Amino acid sequence: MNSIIKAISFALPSKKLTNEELNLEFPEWSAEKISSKTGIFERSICSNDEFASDLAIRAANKLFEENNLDKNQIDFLLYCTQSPDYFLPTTSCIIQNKLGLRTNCGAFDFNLGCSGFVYGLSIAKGLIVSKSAKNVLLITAETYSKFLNKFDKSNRSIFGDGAAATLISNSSDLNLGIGDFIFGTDGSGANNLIVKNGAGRFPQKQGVDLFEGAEFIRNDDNLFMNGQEIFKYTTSSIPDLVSECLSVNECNIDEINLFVFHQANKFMLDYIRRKLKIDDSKFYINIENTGNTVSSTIPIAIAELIKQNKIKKGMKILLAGFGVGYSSAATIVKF
Amino acid sequence: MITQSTFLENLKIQFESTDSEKITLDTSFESLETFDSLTKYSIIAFIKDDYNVELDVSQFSELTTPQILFNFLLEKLKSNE
Repeated sequence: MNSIIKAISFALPSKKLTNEELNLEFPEWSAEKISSKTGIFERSICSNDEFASDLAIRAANKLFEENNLDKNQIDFLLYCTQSPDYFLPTTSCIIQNKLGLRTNCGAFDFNLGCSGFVYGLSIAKGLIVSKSAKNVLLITAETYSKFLNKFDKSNRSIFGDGAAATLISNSSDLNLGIGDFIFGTDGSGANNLIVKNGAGRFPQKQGVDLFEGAEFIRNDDNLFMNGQEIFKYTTSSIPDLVSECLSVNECNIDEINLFVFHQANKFMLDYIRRKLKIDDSKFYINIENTGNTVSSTIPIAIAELIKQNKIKKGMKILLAGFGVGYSSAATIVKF
Repeated sequence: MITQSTFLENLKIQFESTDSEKITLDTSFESLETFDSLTKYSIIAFIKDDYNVELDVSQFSELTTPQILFNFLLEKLKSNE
């Protein structure tokens, strides 16, 4: 038994934040400079009364409608988010009910960021191969905009909100499907990408805005990212992750038709691409109109590739997710 | 063996094309339009990947031109021998 990605749909909030709007708030931050560095022209931002689970439900309903799917066939729901509705219950139970999925459907949340989609594929594959499920609905949804400080121009330029819903199903065709996985975990980097206050260890939100001169540095109530350390982690560990993924799948780098990595920002992706000596034409970057949507960047990119008819039967695509944790995962999917 | 020309060519790759064409050994990094924190991180990663020399942002801020960065590298590599 094998597992295949059958369909993907995604949902973005209707409200957009453009580079021009950011430039009005931060005059030293030109719209051209933002787009040339990050590859991002606009990102979607949730309104105050719109939450990750709302996007998740929209993405799943789109998946059912666009692909004429019977939701009663879903026998497992996996929900990847770091923006849950509540501490408890797990948001996937709420989503199951709102989507009208069967009550004998399994469901749980898992808390991962940019590696979340690839991790989700591995869990879905495990459920399918062990015959615990035939059709797994994997939803990734994030609203990092709610974690961002209004003075934090760097992170406000990069992150966008969004959700993606992916149907992973069983298949008897052993030549197709989701391959073997490689994972990476290094919690020594936890403090380099963190929202410190508001959970169990530091429940009180009492952070203060810290500046160096006019430059905003951090507020522990908000998302903090140490850009240099994240760049260092990514550029030093992801090439090895990719090599190990190729090795475990007994695949040569030249056999890969497309590389779809977590869409962090264009500049960093370009560095990794050069380091791995991957040709531009095989390296997909899709970040212009969404920004970095965390766990949804990879499924959104695949959905766009499918829409543009760029994925042909038999193509091998290497997926790599990496970031907050530090956490990373990679696999090869044969379509 | 580290050569100035290879160093400069690989350093230029870290910049966007509008700036990479302008760079000489004596160009001040700060004078370049596209020089920012991401470019600094990229140069720091390139120095680590190509020469196995660790640099942080505060050290790098004192290395204001490619020539000064190159001289720093030479010193580091010599002391590591």
